[in-house]
Amino acid sequence: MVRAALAALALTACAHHARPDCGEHDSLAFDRCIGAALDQVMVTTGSWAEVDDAQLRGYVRDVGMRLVRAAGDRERWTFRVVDDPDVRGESGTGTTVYVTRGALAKLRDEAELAGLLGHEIGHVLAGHAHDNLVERAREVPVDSHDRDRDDEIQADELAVLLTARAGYDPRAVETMLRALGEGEPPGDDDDVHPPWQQRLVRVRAFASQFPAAGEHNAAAFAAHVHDLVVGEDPRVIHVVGHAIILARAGLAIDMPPGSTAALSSDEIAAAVDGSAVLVKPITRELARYITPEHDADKLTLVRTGPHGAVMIAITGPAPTQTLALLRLRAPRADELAQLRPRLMDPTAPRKLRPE
Amino acid sequence: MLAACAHAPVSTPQCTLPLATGGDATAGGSHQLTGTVASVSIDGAPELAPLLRGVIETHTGQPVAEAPLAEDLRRLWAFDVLADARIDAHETPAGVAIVFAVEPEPRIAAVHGADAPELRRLRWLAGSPYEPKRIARIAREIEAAYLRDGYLDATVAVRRSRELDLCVAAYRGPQVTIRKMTFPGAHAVAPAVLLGALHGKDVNHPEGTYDEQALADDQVFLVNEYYERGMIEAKVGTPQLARYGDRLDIAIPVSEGPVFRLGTLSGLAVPHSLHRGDLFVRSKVSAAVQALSTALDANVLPVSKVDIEHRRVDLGFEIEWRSPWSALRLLHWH
Repeated sequence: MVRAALAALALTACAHHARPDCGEHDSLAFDRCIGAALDQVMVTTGSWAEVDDAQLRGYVRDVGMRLVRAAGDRERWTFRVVDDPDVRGESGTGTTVYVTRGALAKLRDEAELAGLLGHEIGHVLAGHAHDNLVERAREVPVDSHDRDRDDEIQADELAVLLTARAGYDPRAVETMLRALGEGEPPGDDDDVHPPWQQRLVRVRAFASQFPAAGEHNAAAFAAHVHDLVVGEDPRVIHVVGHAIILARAGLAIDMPPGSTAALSSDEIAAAVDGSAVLVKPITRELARYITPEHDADKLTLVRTGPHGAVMIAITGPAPTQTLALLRLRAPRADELAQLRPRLMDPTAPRKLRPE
Repeated sequence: MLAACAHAPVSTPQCTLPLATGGDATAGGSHQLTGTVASVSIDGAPELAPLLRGVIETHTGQPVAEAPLAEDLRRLWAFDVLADARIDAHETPAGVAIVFAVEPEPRIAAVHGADAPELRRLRWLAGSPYEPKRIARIAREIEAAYLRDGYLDATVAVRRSRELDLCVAAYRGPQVTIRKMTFPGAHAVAPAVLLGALHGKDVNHPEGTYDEQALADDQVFLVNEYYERGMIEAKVGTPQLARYGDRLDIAIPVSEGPVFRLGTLSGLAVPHSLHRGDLFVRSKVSAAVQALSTALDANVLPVSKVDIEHRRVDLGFEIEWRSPWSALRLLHWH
């Protein structure tokens, strides 16, 4: 019964994609099948698009697989470096682990990367997402706070264990946490993560039981992250003069003089001719599923470029008239030259959360 | 063969020692000393000392007192990483030397009997610090998940050996499904409507599984069905279970009580949609109060008085103005 509901849940998420045939496997195989289906959705819709750096992706995959093998798991895992400046690691029921470029930018060596990946691999190995998935499918609310907090403790422990088993210095898990937790509040009762101070003590207590040795591979890490963009990437969307430039998609939108535009994360809100215009880059895959809307005071449409697409939403008294003022074209070389992302300097000093 | 497998234990116990319960904070000896703190140090975990030091508030120069030292110990225990923590205090010519003697938790050597997928949380404790309370919590969570899935006989126990091996004894038993659900005493509301008020389709429904906590949580929704029909004295009793092997009959007793109508409506402003003599419908009253609050730009608080004898609910509407100008809206309301 629950399995049927789980399949339905995955199908909902995969509404426009091939139906995942997760069969009547045991729960481990089923979990992984559902996880793979959801990963497919996240990637193809561009929700978690990967960074455009095959070498970096391969490097993260190799480090991840080294940990997976150290755990004795013979499955094929996927490791995705998500093109997102936020600091996050994610995992689900499947054998796919996501780390953002924002998280990578906080790290300084391969052992810390192993610690970050090990935490997420730990969640998967110990089946932490399974219960949440089952409970969602049953549509019965369950207070899972204590369990979620125990799961975070276990994921930290498995990060230490797997980094040590894989030949890395497990003490790097603590520095990884201190780097990622820098500037974060101490923690509160609502957070499923234990307070930072407790996490650090626990990780250090556990790591201290392993020999004080192991690889750090700072040089290898530095060699792979020197092209990593830190913060927002202006090539995704940016304003140059009176034009909105979507370099990744290969598109530019000219706005009439007098317009104003404000960049917010990965979209631009502009005031054009008395109307509000929202411009958001999307993948061409996602563009296929957006239905254009046209009301008296609202207009939503999608335009595709050579490498991507853009969604334009106009709200105002005469949206069609506003749209006519926007001119879609290819970006010019001089505009592209102005889009210079800030790149990572892996040798630069960084702030760590105090002990 | 299938039946035998279905009822077989998920894992078999291999150890006999009971699960330890963990240490308690002790402030041994400190109460016998008086004077001033001459030094504070941590002994027993050099790697952890700098981090543990961060939560110790006792400092040199302050008078020795039992309560703050016990509080320091409590904070050390709160990290859940210590097998032992005590205070060794001794007098020196400069005052009292305070030593927090700590011992980190030992590591779990191996975990046996946790091969089933649902026992993964326990299986992956191998190599982790031995924390009896957390282990017991995880075992309880797994057992609760079995119960939520309808394995009503499930038990999960974890024992340890002297060598710090964990032995998991998990018994799942048969999955019990609901044969029928009845609502004795329910006449004004159809059983299908009451069933529809319960969360989930696969839980607490015929052919679904029984979830005690979910059903307890959903009782408020059953009662609400009666509140929507003027039966404000309706009560839903404790579910009565009758089990027949792997099938379960659930009877939820209902006491409906009389139907109540609206009595007097009083206040500076009264919602237009409510009238004396109307059936008392909670959602209708709630919506009317919300509409009045919006219209008056005020917080409207309904005060109810139940007249049991005449089966009537008198409602008064108290108004808290959000601004002095809001009161002008009364003119438009009337």
